[in-house]
Amino acid sequence: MVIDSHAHLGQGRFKSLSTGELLRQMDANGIDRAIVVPVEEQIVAYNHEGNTFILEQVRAHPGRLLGFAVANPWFGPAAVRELEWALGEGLRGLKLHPVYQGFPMNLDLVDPLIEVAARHRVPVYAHCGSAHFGEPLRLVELARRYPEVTFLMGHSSFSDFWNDLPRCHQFAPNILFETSRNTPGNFQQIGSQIGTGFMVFGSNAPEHYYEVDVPVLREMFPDPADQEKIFCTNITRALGELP
Amino acid sequence: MIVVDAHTHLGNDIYAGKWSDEATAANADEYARVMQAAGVSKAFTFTIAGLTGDPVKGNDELAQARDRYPDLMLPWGTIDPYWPAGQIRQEMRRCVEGLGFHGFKLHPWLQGFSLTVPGMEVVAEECAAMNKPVIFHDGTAFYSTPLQVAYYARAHPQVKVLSGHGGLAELWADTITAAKELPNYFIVLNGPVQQGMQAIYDAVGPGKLMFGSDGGSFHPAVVTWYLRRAKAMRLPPEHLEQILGLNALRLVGLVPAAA
Repeated sequence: MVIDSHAHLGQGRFKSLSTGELLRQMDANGIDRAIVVPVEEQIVAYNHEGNTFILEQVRAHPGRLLGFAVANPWFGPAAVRELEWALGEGLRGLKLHPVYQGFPMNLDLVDPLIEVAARHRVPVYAHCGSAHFGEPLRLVELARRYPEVTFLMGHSSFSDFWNDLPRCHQFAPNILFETSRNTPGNFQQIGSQIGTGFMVFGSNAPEHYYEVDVPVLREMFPDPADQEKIFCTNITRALGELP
Repeated sequence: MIVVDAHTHLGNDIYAGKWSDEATAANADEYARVMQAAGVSKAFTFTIAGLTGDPVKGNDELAQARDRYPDLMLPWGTIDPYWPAGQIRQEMRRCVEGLGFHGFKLHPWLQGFSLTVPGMEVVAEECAAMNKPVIFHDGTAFYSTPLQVAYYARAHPQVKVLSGHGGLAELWADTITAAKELPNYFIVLNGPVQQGMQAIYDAVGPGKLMFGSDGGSFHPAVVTWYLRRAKAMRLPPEHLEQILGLNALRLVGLVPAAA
């Protein structure tokens, strides 16, 4: 099974992708399932609108789509209530974007949301790779506070934070490294210095195309056991039982 | 269709545990094998060792590698902007007039300098005097943002300035205004997300864009992956031909500007 661990659905300022188009691309490229999240406006401000939309899409395509919820930690108790609601309705994780949402990843502002995720035993995806708020070691600081939670480091912190990745793994083994945006040079580093047991394929659709990114991972990691981990079992281990 | 890779480095694998401190004949052979296997006819070839160590040694190694593969490699030299002005001028002149190099590659975060240090004014003067372009690593805070590179180009309109990574995944959108406004600013599409590559092309057109991979010092798949990505752009074949090779050749005067 091939799972895309990070795709955006909806109509946003920067990213726009319909469910029909995502499913068409998945079918054309052998992608069985995708974890979908809302677009930027809904990540920042309209959390409930985004979560409702994602829930509708997941319920319409239960065998193909899984959803992560969004909640802006600046909304405080309202964000906690929104996340509790969304996870209770069936979304399977939390997506954070420290740059769009405007907080340093390691700020304790986000702790109440992580505690909700921990209670529901769901993973937390965090955009990483932006200087300051999205610095990968900030995610490490957060992940060390919550060792029972699995975190997905968005984009494996592309752009130029690849130097830090082995240290991130050394001090926070509860982080998985998601591949979207990143390059074959860094895949080689993560595979050899951290291991394919911590790599998770993601597209960040509609930013990237499956037909370009899937073949390069298969070529770089020809061992079927490695591919099984990168495309499936690393993320399913974090998600638990799938519908 | 001729393919020119406008961003490559000569040296061993940077993930071998340290930055490459030399570029040997074996490195040149491996570089040539990777490029030829990917269908790359020519490449702008930069040093790695000269960015982290001695620039002069790095430039000499580039010249030796080019002599081994003269049809493939189009070397660009480097200098240390903290050198005295006279030393900067001397090495830049040696690169162009003595070694036949085609431009200069500088890497502000790796070499540890701001584009506003006095030595960069000397670099601009020499580039302008010799009519040679300069390419910068960009896309990275705090010394290598695309706006910092764009404003270097804005401050030195007589110098052809290349954004070496098109702002990478985070900052690519900042290259668009500069490319539209500044005749002397060019973009190597080696780093923006796929959607960003398309957005840059849609806004700027094909004339100032070049294919590049950062190949040579990374896994060979970077070259084939970036080639696939260039070919996955939505554009007519004649524009792809420009981006894959003709624009780079024009930049260094290997095809006439009006061709």
